[in-house]
Amino acid sequence: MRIRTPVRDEVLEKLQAGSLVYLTGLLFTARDRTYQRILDTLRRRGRLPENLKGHAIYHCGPLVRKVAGRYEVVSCGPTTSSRLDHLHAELLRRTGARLLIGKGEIGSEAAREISSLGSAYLCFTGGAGVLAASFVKGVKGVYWEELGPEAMWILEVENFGPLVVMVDSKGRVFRAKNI
Amino acid sequence: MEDLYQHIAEMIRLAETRLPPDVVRALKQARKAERNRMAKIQLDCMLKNLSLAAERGVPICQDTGILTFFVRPAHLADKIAPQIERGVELASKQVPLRPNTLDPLTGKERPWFSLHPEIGGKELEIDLLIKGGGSENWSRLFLLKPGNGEQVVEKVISTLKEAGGRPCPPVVVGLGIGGTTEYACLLSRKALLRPLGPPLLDLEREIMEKANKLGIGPMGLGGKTTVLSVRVLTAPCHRATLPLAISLQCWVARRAFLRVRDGRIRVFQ
Repeated sequence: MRIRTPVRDEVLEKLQAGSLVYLTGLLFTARDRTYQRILDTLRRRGRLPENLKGHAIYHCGPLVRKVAGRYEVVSCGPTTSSRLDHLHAELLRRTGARLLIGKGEIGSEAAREISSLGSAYLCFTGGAGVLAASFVKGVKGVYWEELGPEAMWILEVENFGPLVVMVDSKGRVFRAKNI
Repeated sequence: MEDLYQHIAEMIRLAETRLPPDVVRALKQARKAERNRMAKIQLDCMLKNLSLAAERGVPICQDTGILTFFVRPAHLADKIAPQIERGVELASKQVPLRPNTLDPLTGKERPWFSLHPEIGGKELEIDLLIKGGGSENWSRLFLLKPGNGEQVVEKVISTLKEAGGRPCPPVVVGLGIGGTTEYACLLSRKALLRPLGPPLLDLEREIMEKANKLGIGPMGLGGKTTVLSVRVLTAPCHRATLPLAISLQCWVARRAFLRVRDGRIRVFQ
């Protein structure tokens, strides 16, 4: 299934655990320190530099280089999503973002919370950083640059995938099968 | 050997951008053997990623890891440490490498690599192991009861089960059994420098068979390829102890070697 960000409710409702998704639009990268920065800002009733409503948060600390004064993404695979299990729900609630993209299974409580917000969690192949970068059309912006790879990078992507729906908005969770 | 740092930078570039042939072979064999749809999709992405990285000459994974160097003979380590530092600096810019290391207390960025002088060897030998954070979080050390070897298999299997898809399987399992606490850990790292392939010991076979029946599969999405290879290194241990160190290496199993023979430097995987 092909989807575009920002995602609408009716699209989110169609996502089914275990199905494949290709995403076009924007990815907002956020990992350990970015999560902290976003939440610190919003808890203090501050404003984020960008409106994340309906958008996709990508658990990723990209490897970037500057070519002729512009950022180029070299490699941008996902990082382990379950490290942030205790914060996913609050992040989605406070930012209005609707999709989480990362890698690996997440805890059942985090999965329940994500579904109950009508959101979904998708995963991409860990380690496949160059493949991920091949879908990036450009860097649309970067905030909190002092965090380096943990800054919030805004990546414009086209047909980023295959992403596997791990947790869907109806509370279904993809379970690995032996054969 | 004034330009040794350039060869060290080249060794890092090689390890970051290409996987050793035995690792590629193991991944391709796994792709052929898998019947699970998700496993096939994940392995296809991994193999496609490898060709893209080689084509573009860039790091396979954005997590360019922490670099661990083993240097022989030990007396040369002091002498060449500045060259390693310079080589890492050069590679950081050229490859490039992601600034991965932070001071554990202040959280400030602080470049670092791990360096171990070793006994043995005549001319200079450097082994490089590169490991990312995702697999590193599943390193384990157990002090088992002596004379109970079955516990080794149990501990490895339970570690793999708990880790699931998070260390980026299919993984290589490096085990250090025996020695002292610190020595077992080092052995488990050195085991990851060994070529992948069929089990060499009964213990390796038993772990491999049990692990690949867990159904974790590539990226934890199911399938029969959870472990690509198991490598065990041992050392004698105190009769009251049985140390077991487990190092899991992600499917991007990066390593490279530098050898000097008759003054000529060679870098390979």
